Amino acid sequence: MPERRDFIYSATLHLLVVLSFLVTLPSLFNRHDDQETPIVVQLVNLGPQTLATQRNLTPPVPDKPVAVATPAQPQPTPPTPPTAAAAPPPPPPMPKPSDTAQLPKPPLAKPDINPQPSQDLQKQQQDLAFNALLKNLAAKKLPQDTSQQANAKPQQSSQPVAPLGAQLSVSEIDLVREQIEKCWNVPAGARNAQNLTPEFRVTMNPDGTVQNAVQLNPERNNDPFFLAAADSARRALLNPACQPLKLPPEKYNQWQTFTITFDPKDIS
Amino acid sequence: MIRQTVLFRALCALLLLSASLAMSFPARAELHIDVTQGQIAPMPIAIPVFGSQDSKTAQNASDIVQVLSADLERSGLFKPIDPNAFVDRDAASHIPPRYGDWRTINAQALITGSVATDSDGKLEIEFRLWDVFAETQLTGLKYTTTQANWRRISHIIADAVYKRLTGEDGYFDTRIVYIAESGPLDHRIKRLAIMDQDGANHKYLTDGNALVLTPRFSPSTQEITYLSYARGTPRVYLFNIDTGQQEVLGDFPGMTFAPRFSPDGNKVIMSTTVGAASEIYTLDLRTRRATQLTDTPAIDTSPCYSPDGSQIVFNSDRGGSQQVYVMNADGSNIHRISFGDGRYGTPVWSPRGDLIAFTKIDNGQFYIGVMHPDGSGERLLTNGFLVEGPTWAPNGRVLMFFRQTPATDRSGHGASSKLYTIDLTGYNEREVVTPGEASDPAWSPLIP
Repeated sequence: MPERRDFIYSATLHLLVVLSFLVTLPSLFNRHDDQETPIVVQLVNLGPQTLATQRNLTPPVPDKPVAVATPAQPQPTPPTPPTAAAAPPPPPPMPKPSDTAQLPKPPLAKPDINPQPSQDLQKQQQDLAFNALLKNLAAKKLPQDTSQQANAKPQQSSQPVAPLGAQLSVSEIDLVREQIEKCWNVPAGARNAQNLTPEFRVTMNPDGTVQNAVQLNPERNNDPFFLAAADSARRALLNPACQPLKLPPEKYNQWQTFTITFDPKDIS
Repeated sequence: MIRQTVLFRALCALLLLSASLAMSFPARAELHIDVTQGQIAPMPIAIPVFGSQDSKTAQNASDIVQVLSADLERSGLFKPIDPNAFVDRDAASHIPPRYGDWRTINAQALITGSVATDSDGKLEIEFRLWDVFAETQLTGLKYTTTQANWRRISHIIADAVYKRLTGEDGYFDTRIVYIAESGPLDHRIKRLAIMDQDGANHKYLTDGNALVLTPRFSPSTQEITYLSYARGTPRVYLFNIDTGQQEVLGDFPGMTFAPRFSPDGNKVIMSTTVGAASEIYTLDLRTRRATQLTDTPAIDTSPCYSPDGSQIVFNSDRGGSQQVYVMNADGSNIHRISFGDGRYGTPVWSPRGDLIAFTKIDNGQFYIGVMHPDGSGERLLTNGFLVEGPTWAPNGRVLMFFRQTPATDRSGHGASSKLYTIDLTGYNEREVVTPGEASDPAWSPLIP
């Protein structure tokens, strides 16, 4: 008899253990479910108060040693136009054709006039255009930020996140969206504009300024239209006139990085 | 028994623990934002005077920047910033630029450059285009040319900047041929004239003895085909810009009109009258052989090739009213594409192939519009008492046309005819300044 009871206990317990695995394991390793919890909007109103007390947030990121100069990188852009121009140059208006013949030379801008970058330059040349881009961008914004805060404070994580209201509300996201839209000069009239959808991962400083914006689909930049669209989107993100982004400081950990897609399909 | 209870409780506790552990890592997806709206506004661009060697090149530098700046401004896509606002007054000597100085005046792009003369006395002109916010050089080029060519280099630089910032080829290094008109309305003198796209280097090609109409550029930009009354009846002529030579095209019994080159430049397509009707012909410029493409009792005219040469758009009244039709280059598969109100004329295929520009007459008003080659997406860009003769910029983004205003009295006072450009978006209509009255413009391809 006792064996039977033992057996039942054992079976039940095993069952429970298995069940608990089934229930908990998947979510243990799968943290990427997107869970939008826009419901808590009202609580968000507490934000401003929190903001007042938490004002000590310091945006900075340790200044990187890099000289930053990212100077004239003459080589990286040996564009096509010159070659085209270098082609046969028939006579323009009136000037003697023979003169025009020597017209545009293919060259790129003169070599580096400033010595400093030599080291960087080498590196850049090796890198793919894409990597060079990332690096430039990353190195970039720093000087600006550092100037603001000579008295840098340790920029520890902002604060423990309240479980409720910690998610960005839809209206908060809309606010930022509108802010960026005002700064985005769209490629109006471009052919197939609806396909020009550059995407970026943006890293933010706690004060709402953009630390850097890295393009996520740079492989499409060999299309000059896409490249131009990506540049215009990046300008929208980096435009100082459009910063800081109006994001609730107390939710910094929610928007410390975010991805953003620019899609002109609704425009032209 | 007790042991069992303890075990049971322990297991329950374990269960609870693991459950709460799993829940203590809330799922958090990275924030994503979709931006689908933006501004259509000209981009602020700073173009400080290029650096120079001496007073002579200083003049060149200032002239070049002026032409470059005017080109970009006229496109409607850029807004050159007033140099008085510049913080960095010596921009030419700062490479890389002082980005902060340009950010403060909200310049999104910056063009710096320099002008020098080499040992042969030739101009060495170089420029760099910078993205002020991203702090990168977008492009940089250098040109060597004769003194006389500084203006063309300015246009070439404007094209390079336009191309890098929009992705689209530029259209500044181009020319316009048009009909220069003068004299009273009943004794109008019409001359063939040519000028740069910005109105500079204006020159008359014919003397005005014979009436001329509808000039069109060859793809090489070295020849013009047009209609002239030189021998009494209207005939299609060919004009060589370099030699000034003119010749009649073809040996047709009736009058010939509405000529245009094929995209490869080897043929001219035109209309010729056959009795009360008119038909479309092509004339091979090498063999001088004519080929008839249409054959109806209707008026088929204003033919224009698609940029790939595979199709032809034209207008015809074969259906009762004047409408736009498309056919294959061999004359087969004729089908009507315009179905809106009113009459349609002078269809012109865009150099990038995606649109056909046309003139429309509806309710006594003239319109310039565009539609897709299948007839869909008709959009009217501008209108007036008389707007006619659309011609595409080589990049297919801008149209030029002429606009006439009616006379205010019987003697013809107040009437005028001027050239205008308008962006494909329907914005940015600008007058193209000509020395006198003007009509029938034709935009050249980019000068090779």
